[in-house]
Amino acid sequence: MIINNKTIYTKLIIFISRILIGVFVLGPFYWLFLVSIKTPIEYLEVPPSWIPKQLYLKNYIDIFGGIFGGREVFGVQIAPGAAQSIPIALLNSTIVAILATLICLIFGSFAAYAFSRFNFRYKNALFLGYIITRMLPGLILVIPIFLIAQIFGLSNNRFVLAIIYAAITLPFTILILKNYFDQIPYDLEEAALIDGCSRIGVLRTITLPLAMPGLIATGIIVFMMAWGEFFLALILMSDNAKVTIPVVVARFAMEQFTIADRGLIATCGIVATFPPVILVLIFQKYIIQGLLSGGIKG
Amino acid sequence: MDQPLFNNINLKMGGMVLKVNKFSLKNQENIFSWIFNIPSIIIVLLVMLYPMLYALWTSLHRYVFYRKTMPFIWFSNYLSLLHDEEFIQSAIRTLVFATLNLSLVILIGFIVALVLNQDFKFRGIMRALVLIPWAVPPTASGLVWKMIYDPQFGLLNGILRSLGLIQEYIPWLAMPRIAFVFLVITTAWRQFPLVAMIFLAGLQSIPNDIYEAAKVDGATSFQRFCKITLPLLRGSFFVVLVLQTMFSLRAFDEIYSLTYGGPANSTVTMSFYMYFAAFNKMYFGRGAAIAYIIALITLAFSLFYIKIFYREET
Repeated sequence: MIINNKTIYTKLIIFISRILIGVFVLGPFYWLFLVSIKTPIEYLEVPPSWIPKQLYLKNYIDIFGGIFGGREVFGVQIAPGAAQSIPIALLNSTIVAILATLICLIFGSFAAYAFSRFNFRYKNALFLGYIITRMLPGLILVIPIFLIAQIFGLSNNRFVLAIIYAAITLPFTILILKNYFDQIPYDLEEAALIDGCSRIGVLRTITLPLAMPGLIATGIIVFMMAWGEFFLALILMSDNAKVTIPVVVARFAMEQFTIADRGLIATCGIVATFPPVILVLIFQKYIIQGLLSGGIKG
Repeated sequence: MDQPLFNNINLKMGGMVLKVNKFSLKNQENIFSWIFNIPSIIIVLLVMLYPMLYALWTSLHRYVFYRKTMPFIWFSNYLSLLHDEEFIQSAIRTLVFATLNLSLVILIGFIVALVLNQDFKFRGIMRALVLIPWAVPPTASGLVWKMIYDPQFGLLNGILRSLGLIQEYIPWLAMPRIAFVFLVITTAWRQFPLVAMIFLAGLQSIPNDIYEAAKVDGATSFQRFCKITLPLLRGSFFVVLVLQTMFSLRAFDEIYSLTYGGPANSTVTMSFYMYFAAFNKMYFGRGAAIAYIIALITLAFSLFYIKIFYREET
């Protein structure tokens, strides 16, 4: 009987902990979403309502309405001003993040392939070099990159920002991708080489497709990092037309006590969070695999 | 298998056929490897190594942006920081923050990993959901939690009020101590998923036979946990400590969007002090010196962990 009781208690504790974890993870998002679709009157109610009384989409229309050109969308007048900076920032972030991911994956997979397949002079030294650069805190880079960008006129340039992000994530990418390449048997490639396939051809038709899970996982992680990076974006992108979404989010967050419209701020948070979260949810199998396969330990 | 490889090079290098044919396989691998590595090396050198050296150079100068001259002052930037009361304060604050952050992240991450390591119906979904905060941009996580702590309509105030624990809404982030603790919670929320995944990887690498054997020998579940799980997770603990110390010492984004250093400087960590010194007061030499001090502290912690974990092994 005693043992039976004990298992019931343990089961209960485990069950409750599962629910608590779920609430801890999703609760903040639910609240943010709730605020973004409540009317300004409703979200100031005390105590708050847990289910919105009506669907209020003005904030979303304020942000995205401008894209459709009209001053009026679905009969709602678009408010000028702060909301308009969000779609531009979303576009900039998308450009920067995709560019960074491509650069990182292309160059990273070449380097990782060489590390995985070939023996060459100074291989270990070079590899150690990548590991050390990976461990160095990125905080050191902020001031010199700002100064160098000022001297050479490189600020407010999305391509430069993308290259910087690619460089910061490259050592990590190389370490992860090397692990993935190591798991692909070399025999396959040798067979293709004997059949007269070129080195590049082997990489393109055999190795890369087989390493696809690794490439996807790494790509998503790089994309996420580039999408969310804040400090460098803050100091490099001062032009409102070039600014990326984390900077806009930070501006909105800081203005919380001066802007009365919290709904718009919450909407900004939702919009900024949506792309990386959706990507992670879609590709979670690959990402967890990548993380569990020891990529982070590199 | 030599022949096709050589053909390959011949095609690529056109006129240099004769010369290339003399290459041994080893030389060929050398060349390929370096060609494959050169783009990465160039980018890393340009964007990371060169700025790092530039920062070192900057930190040894009185580098103020609007002034024309930058006198070389040896280590004065570093030494003056040691006498700077505000900097010492921020350093202590950073260490407190790192300690709290590490404990909280490891606690939550470990519990989540233990829960996810069990078989249950919605395990896959749960594992995916747990990853979500990790995907959130850091400034956005600051914004999310600022909405929760909001003095006029925040979730926290709402819940406490609904439960009857408080009568009036409280401006949480206006109180130094509480703002600091809430900052720790906010960063922990975004950082625990990665730690949970590392622990989960460690837990899954422990073979089940050991538990079965211990069970047969009559070990209680608590004993099994202390004598099997914890010792075998040492590698995971090491990785988590190194990574998480690095992350918590350089925390910046959440501070910027959640408290911006306030109230009354209570959340100004070293990284934020660096931001103020460099980008508000334009003392770049000083800022670079702070960045290097943070890097040195991070390195010291890493070496400390290596020493502890290495000594235990021998």
